[in-house]
Amino acid sequence: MVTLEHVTKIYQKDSIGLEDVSIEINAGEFISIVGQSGSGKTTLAKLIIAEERPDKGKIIIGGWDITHIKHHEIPDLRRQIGVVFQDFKLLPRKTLYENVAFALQVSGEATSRIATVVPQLLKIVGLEQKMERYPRHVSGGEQQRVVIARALAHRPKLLVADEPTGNLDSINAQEIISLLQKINEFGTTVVLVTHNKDIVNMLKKRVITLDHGHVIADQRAGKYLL
Amino acid sequence: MITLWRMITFGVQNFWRNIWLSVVTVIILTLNLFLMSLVVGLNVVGDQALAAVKEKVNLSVFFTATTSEEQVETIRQELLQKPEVKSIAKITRQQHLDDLKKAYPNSGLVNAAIELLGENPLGPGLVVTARSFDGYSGVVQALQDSKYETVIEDTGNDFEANRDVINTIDHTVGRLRIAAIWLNLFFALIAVLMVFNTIRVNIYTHSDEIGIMKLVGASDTFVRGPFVVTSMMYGLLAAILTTLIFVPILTVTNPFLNSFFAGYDINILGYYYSHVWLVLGLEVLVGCGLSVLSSLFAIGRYLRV
Repeated sequence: MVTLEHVTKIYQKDSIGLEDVSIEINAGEFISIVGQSGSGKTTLAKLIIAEERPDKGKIIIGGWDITHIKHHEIPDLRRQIGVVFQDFKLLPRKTLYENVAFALQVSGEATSRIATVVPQLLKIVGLEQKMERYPRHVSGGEQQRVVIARALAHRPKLLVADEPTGNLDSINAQEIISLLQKINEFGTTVVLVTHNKDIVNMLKKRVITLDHGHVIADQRAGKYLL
Repeated sequence: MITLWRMITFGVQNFWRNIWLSVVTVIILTLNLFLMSLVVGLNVVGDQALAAVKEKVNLSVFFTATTSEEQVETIRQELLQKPEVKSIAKITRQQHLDDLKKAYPNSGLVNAAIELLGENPLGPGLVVTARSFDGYSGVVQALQDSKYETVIEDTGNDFEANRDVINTIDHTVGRLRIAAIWLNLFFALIAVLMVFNTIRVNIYTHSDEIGIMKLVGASDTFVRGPFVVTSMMYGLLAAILTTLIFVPILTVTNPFLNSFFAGYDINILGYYYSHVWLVLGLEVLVGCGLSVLSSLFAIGRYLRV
């Protein structure tokens, strides 16, 4: 599903994002990328969604070599990958319904299909009663659930969640992780970027540990090492 | 088609959901359009005034008292052959006298002189109207021909004096026009900078949203589209507001302008009404053009997500 071959990303001379990282993520996996701040976790997520370009190496997503992806091809890639961000990244002037619908509208989906799909997605995340509210009128946990609904809009085969519980309390965090597990059970590959030790240890799934831009551990049913 | 419709819908939504930002942007655009319209309007007034002054010019030729009507008619026909001459009116001796009396109604000296002479001492005349202001030189040159020397009393020396005055006005208006062009350019530059910066701030407040749109898979066109629509709304509203402000101001000032140009065929309000669609069209074009270009330019940097 995702292949990184000897990927290096250097921001400045002494600021290494990733250095010579090779990772193979298989379809249907639930994988946690862990590490301390500055270890390169977010850089990895950004490289997968083409928000950053690698300086060296090769990145292949679902058979598509995106190493030198053209600017106009990026929207196509992003419509195939669901992304969940720590800071939610909801459009503040759009309602919860409109935020989820937006992901479908950008790809030219028919209005009738959007009208059917969006309430279903919001129902999955338990927000069908609040779809006309604006993001500022719901809690952080609810905002993150909207982000997950939006990420699922295109039925992606890959979902990248960059610190999705970073701004949430433990109860909301647990709910979000349960949701991600459920999504994974339906066949979507989930890449969870986190530094939450409890969540990683509870999941008992594959864990890749990064440190200063290097992979220092890749455990099949791993634990938080650092 | 559905994408275009969505961009239009989002653009209109942007306008209403950021109503105060929209109001400020429209006010600033209106202010600039109003200033530009004012400068262009002053140019038009200047041009119209000069054209009216030139239209009023004609050349009066007066003959000696002994010149016969036939001689006057012959000269008239000769002058009418000249391509620069538009029309020639005849003034009889009696008309000439009446005009003089009318010009000096309370002058006992004129009446006394006429009584002393016992007869009308004034000759007949011709009033020549040329097709263009420059055509009068040719008419004056023709009248200076030696064959008319014995019959012409006055060869239009007044015209030469008037021509100097009109040339001075012409030069002044010309210089004013150049100054107005620079002033227009200056206002246009200020307008462009003001509008650009207002729209840049407007877009800056949306920079996070633009990034989010890109991250969920929106193409550059889909992100730009709604901002272009919103900018067009700014331009359109600013043009309409400028017209709504301009018309009452022009209506109120029109009587003052008319009395200032009394006697001349100048009607600024009439001119405005006869060109209202052109003016509005230009304002819409400038307003929309400025705001759309500004927003396209300002948005570029946020699309690199």
